[in-house]
Amino acid sequence: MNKKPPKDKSSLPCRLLSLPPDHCCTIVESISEGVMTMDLEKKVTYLSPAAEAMTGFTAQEAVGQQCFDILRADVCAQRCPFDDLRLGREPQIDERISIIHKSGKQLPASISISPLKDEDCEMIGAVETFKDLSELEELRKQASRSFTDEDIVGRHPAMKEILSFLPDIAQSESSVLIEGPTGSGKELIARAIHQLSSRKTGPFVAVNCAALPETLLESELFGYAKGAFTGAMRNKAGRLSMANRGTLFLDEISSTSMAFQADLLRVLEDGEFTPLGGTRPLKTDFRVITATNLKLKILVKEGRIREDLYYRLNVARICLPPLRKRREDIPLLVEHFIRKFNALKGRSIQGITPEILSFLLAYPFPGNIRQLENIIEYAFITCKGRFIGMEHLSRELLDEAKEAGPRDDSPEEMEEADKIRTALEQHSESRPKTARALSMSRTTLWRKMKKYGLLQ
Amino acid sequence: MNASRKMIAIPLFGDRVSPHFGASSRFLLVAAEKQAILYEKLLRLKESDSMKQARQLVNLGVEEIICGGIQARFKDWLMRQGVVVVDNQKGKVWEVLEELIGRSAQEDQGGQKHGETKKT
Repeated sequence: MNKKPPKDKSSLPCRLLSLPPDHCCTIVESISEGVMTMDLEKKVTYLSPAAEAMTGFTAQEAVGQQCFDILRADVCAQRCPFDDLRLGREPQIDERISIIHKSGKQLPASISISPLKDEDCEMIGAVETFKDLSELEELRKQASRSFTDEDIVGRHPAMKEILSFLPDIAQSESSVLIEGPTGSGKELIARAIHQLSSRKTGPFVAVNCAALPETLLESELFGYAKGAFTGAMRNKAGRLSMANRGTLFLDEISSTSMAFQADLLRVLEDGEFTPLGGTRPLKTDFRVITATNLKLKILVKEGRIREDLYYRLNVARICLPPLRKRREDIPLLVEHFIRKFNALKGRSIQGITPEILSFLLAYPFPGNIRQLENIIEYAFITCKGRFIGMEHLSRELLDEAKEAGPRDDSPEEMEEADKIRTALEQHSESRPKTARALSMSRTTLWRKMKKYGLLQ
Repeated sequence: MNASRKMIAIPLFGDRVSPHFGASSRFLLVAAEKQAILYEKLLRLKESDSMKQARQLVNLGVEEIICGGIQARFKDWLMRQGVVVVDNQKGKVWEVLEELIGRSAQEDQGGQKHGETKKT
């Protein structure tokens, strides 16, 4: 093994020592990596401002405490970098760790350690530098789409409740039905369930049932045998086979035909299916998660969904509220999307102005979280500074909000507007059906829709 | 079962409270009643995943967890299961335990101080 050349002792330390002490201090305090020094008893002797931000402890709280009680990294219990150093092992450089911030937030980071020596080259402690890898982690998640419950943002009681039982739902092997309006994050929940389940090493196969015509949906899902139809030149495995030992996510299940539902029910009950044109049944083992933007129970009553399939799919049910019903989550979501786009686009936007926050808090978000994400993404194109302001929003959005007019509705009126909005979603925006469901005339419905800015 | 008796679990880092929930598979399990510790046991969980550890502790009937850092989502989940989570603790495990048990007994008795904590 090649030995490293001895370090030139007159290099960096001496260059730093030639600077006035307050310059050295300014240098250490201005770097974005966290710096923590400790003595031989592993007691903290210094904590830089960046390290304060990453750990949540102030320097005053940290100095004199054990380093592991401040850094709170997983590596401390498994392979202490300082112990390695003292045992003469190779110092850990850019070792991946996970830190628990004082607030309970988990932070991915990397750590490097170097010995601190006195004039006689005797070790008197160590200096640890750690780098926040949240942005890198965000990029990795976006690339691999391996989202977990940590990626679900929400403080609203309904969201907190969903998050609290998500691990239990994931651990069970039961079918899950996710109901929620378009853009409310149904696929994110489905992916989180998959990641939290024992099937996480298996595939996550997502199919949007509304995006494919019925015949294509059948062949996509079940696969086909060579010669099953014109153009079937070879055997093709379907999504059911691909999802073996993993999770099958069927989005917009409400748009499927009764015939397809019967076939799906058979697979769910027997774990067997026959590809189109095939003669031999194939076995598959997957967990099914379905999602719909309509209330499936009502569709059962209307005869659009088989009752037996409904009970098969609805073992565990998660109802996602629309964004307008969880407004307290808007600032958190804005912060989340800014972090995401900063990582994806290499930008460093700090936040939004109070003016735009008030605008967003009053906006009804018919497109839910996806629309909020799009608003922030658009603002990243137009905003060249550090804060997103009203001038960075699209003209279309501002015109739409202006058309709806300033809303000063009473709680009863807001309730009524919500009821109409939900009924419209439930009946695929059909006004005659919505009016019938709400027991009002079509003219009254139209008048109320105009009043609440629901006319599109 | 005595209502004032509770089962406490503490993740260990040597003889100290582990600073990172999920990083250690060793737990000290104690049954405490008022200021007395009735029973103690060293527990080694098979699971290394934080969520699985939390689940296993709940299944064992643990009613309180004393720990250093714990991820907010695990803390929320545990609290939802009715487990009391006393986090951000640091130091030698018995010192932390005695202080917390002593404090909660004082609170139970309306601030009146009791005798020494007994270990069995």
